[in-house]
Amino acid sequence: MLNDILASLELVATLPNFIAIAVGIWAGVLIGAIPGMTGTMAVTLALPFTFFLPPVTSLLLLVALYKGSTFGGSLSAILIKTPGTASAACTLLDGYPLAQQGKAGKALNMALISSCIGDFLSNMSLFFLAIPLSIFALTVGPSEFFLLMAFALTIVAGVSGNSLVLGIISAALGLLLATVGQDVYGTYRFAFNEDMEAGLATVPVLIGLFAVPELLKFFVFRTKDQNISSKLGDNRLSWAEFKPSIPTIFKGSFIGVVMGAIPGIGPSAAAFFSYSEAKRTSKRSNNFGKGELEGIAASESANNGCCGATMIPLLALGIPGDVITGVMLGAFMIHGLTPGPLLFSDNITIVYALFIGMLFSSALLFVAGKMTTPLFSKIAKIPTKTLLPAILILCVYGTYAVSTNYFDIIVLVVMGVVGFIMMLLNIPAAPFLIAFILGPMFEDNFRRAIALSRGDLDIFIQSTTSCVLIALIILSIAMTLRQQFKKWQNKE
Amino acid sequence: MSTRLRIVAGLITILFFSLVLLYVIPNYVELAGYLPPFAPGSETWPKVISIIGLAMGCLLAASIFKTPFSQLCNSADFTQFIRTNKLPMQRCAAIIIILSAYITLIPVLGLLVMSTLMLATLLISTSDKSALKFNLFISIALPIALNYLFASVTNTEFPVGWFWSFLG
Repeated sequence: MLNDILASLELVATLPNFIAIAVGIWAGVLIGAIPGMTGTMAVTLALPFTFFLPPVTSLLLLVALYKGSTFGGSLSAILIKTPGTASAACTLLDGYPLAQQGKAGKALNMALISSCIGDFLSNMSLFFLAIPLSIFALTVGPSEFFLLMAFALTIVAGVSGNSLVLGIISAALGLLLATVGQDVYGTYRFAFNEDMEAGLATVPVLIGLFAVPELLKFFVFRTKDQNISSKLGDNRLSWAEFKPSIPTIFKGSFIGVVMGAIPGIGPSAAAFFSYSEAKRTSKRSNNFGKGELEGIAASESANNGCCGATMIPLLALGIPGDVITGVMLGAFMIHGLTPGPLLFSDNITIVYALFIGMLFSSALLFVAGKMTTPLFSKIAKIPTKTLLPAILILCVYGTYAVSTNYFDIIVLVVMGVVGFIMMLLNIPAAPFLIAFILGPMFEDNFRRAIALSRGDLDIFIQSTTSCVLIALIILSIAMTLRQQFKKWQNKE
Repeated sequence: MSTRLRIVAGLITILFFSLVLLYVIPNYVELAGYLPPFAPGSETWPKVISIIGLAMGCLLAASIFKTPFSQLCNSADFTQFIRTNKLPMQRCAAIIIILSAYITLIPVLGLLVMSTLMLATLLISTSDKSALKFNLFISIALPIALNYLFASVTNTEFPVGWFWSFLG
């Protein structure tokens, strides 16, 4: 094994590999920060370049792009309330309120540090846990998926603000909108036109719901406190501020690794699951959603914790867990490598070289993040009246560039108006967001589980994982009811 | 949240989910040709969501029974509301018209032209006259820069507008 590692070190420690990782991380951060542009797009755009690069270099370039874009999404989420990627949507819940309080610098630093730790631990898990985690991933079926989503959805209560009823209404709207398009049986729901047959794209809905209402609010009310371009404030994150988040970061990274190893879940669900768990156990749970550093730590450690772990099913079993790893599978194939158990026996030096390169990329992500944050902080200096309309145009271009579908622009604008009406009626947008992202996975896996068990509900309590998840769901609901009861008693 | 706002939000919610439950689901959710007896149909989940939404709307609007009728329909309050919110309401109507025009005219005049016009309208209407030159510069430069950036990096062909094609 040591000889293999030494050989792979020789393979990975080259200037082209270093440049590939650096370029990948930087480009990824920038692309992720542009509203509408996603990691999938970055990786897909870079794929043609990999034809001309050696296998390790090209794979490292793609992985670096993926990691960079996952972190980059948090920059626009925190600074301009626009999640660059869907996985950064959870970061927005606490990041933007912190930015409004003049603590954008702290929020960005917390996002960066948690992302790097989550990413590093995820890469370590590739080294040591690839095989056991991939075996575990194979035991997770639709019933466990459904329960995982159900647990993550219990966070709706936590982000509902003052009224649980309004939070549930918002979540119901999100769940309803998520049903648009083709369902698991191939039938169409709410497909009012051809463009809606494939369902509504996540990014225009998210951007429309969060970024556009701010512009409408500014245009209509023009109050001076509408300062979306928040001051960076004191940049330093003190030890006292960081220390309470350490357990959350490790827990979030663990959740990210486990959920990333399961094909089909992805970083968005991992971030919400981690956020939900952090809120449940935190001493400052009441502050979640109002600007809590621990909330950012939970979300960012989990979504970056997914990055390395999504490679586990790909490398160990040859199963791409999401679109990005699907593109990466293509990159492996281009270079004559077939992911799966044989890869570990036939090309172990390449596998180790990839692992080492990925570990190195975690350090480079930190450097890139540290250097990019001040660059993006310039946004904070642009006056709101200029920034908000510019963001709208940027969002429109970003959204159109991803899908080249005019209908997505309509979705973005209509969702902006819906978000504004929700804002006027005091209906919180966060539960909508959670429900819209998790809703399809929740319903599809329920229906799959029922189909597999031929209608027998016992499928939901057959495995240990299911039982643990059911216990967590019950605990979470009980805690919510207790909090609501306390609130009601205080009112009385 | 004021009682009146709660009631308005509740009534809007009831109206929306009733419409979905009674009209949209029966007409716009296809039913699978064959489904095993144990499998939930395509309309089950939207129906469950709508019923939950409807129940929450009813809970929200329930305050209507606690509030005296005279207090709910106080015409003086209504006139006062209209008077104090006249300008925001006009602006709200204006922005809705601007956004509608934007998305409607993109296929006609193209994304670049419409984005320039939209940006100019928003910037000029919210800024001082002294910043007119700067705003005009931003309105023209930003869409062109974005158009160029995305077109060169992602090879995206943005809608040019049939009006320009028609002119040749």
